Amino acid sequence: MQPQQSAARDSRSSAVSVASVPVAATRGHGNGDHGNPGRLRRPVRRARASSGRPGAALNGRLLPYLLLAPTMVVIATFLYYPMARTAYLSFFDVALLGRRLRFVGFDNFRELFVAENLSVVVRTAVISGLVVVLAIGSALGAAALLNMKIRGTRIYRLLLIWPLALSTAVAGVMFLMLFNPTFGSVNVVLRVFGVNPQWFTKPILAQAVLILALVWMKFGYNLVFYSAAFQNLPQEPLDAALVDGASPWQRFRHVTVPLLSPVTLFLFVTNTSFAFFDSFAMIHVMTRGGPLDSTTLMIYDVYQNAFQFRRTGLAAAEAMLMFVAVVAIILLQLRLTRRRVHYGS
Amino acid sequence: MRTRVRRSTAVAVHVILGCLVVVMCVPVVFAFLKASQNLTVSNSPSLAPGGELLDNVWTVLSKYNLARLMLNTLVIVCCITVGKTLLSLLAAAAFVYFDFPLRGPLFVLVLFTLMLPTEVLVIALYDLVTDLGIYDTYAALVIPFLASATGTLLFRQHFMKIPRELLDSGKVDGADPMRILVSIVLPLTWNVIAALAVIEFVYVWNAYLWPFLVIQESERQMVQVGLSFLITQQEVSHVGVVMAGVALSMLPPVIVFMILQRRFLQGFALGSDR
Repeated sequence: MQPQQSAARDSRSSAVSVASVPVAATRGHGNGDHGNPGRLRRPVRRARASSGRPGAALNGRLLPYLLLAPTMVVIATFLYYPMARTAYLSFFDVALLGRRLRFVGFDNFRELFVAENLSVVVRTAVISGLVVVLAIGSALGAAALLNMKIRGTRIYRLLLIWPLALSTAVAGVMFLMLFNPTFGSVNVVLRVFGVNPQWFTKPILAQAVLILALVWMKFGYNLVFYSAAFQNLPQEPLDAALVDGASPWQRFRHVTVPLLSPVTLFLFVTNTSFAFFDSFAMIHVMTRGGPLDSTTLMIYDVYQNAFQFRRTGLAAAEAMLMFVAVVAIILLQLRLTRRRVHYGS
Repeated sequence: MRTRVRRSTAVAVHVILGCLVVVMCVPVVFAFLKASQNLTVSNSPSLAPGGELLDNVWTVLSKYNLARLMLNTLVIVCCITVGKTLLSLLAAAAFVYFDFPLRGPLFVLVLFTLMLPTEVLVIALYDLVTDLGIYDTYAALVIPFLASATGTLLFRQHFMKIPRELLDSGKVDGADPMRILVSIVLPLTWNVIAALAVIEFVYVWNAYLWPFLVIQESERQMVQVGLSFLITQQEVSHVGVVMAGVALSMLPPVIVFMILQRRFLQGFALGSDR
């Protein structure tokens, strides 16, 4: 359910091993070859991709439409229609459980930027931003360490990535229990130092646990992509930097990190959408948005506005705002990636 | 050429990685230890492994109905996986093997859905499902997710790598298009189908927001939402039982991960959704 950049997915194939996926993805739209859906629509390109002869492989005038019908019906009914409907509702005040609509123009959107609603938007931006930066940064650091010539990197990698199979709800319950002031292990350790924080009654502490839990969840996913990318780094620039006498830190900062930027941008999109949307289960399980709304992020607020406070129009506007933010981030990523692809072809 | 690592550096790296492993594993180890303890011990800070694991598992499976919720989830996983595979196979075949006027626009329509997170649609989707009369049914959990841009693109990519000559040989033999697809293309596609199935398994098993909204009757609920029931009912009264529920509900995807590590990561890299 995360929106991801399309061209990258498009160019991946099952035959590509995990190790080469991000690279394949970047190459795809970097060179504008098989990864570019726009060009593929042209029959000539498509034919070249399969065997070098133009024309359709199979005949039938009605058959292709029949084959596509189920997918198109589902997409139209359960994706495009609700999207259009949400956009429509965001301009209305909805009363009587949806039976009366009153057009209010941009009022709902304006309301999002005042008082408590504004603090939800700002909070979402700050907390998501922290989650994305910490999750990507820690995974990058760990991947760099795993790339060094030491023993046991395979087992370290496995032990570090396996939580990516866990769900957000599972992680939420585990962190809730781990940080419980009575029986949680975190407080057992902290009591040695004479403190016993009540994690879920102080806003700043609850936010800290939420961020930590979200970072913990996404770390393994990011590490998978970074370790794959490290294995596919071209050696020449690194060797050249070594010859020029660059220190390990300089090589990492000025050669490795720029070379990894396509992967970083891709992770930026997936991590942002994770922080935006998958945080729902975490919040619902751990804090229900509290204390004092301190962990109410937009997706949780959408749920509350729509299903608890019956402010459907406002919730729709909020959902649209999230949608626009995600699309903007995807477009930014596609643009930046296209401009700076560092992998040689 | 990777740079040689000095001994002191290597030790430092091992220490850092070791700490990271501890951080990643502590919550899960904690969950399993707590799941093995009885009522009084699990509600205390003790981390001593107890002998109540099976009792707690039994309690959570029967008394708190997790067995039913896991079964529900499994059924839904199967329905979505089969449906998605079928629909996206057909769609991909249309895009790759046929020439028709609307191919371009329709492909763009499929592609754009990658940018539509279902979470922003829940408000309208909820009303729609209610209007269709499938609120609080399995259908509401399955039907909206049957179309798959990821699947369609995955199969499309794979089909384009199958040599055209193979299909032509079928045409020469006079087989009709559907027959060619089933007897020539399908047997070459099982690998991709498996990758998609793994993605779907983990993705659907871990679903939360939508089942939480659209399922009222707790008998029909999915497993992750069941965990939140456990917390509201059990948090203060028996931590061991809650943690047994956590342990059980995380097992299937983790087992899939351990057994099919390579395929899992492949699938995972291909997109953990839709």
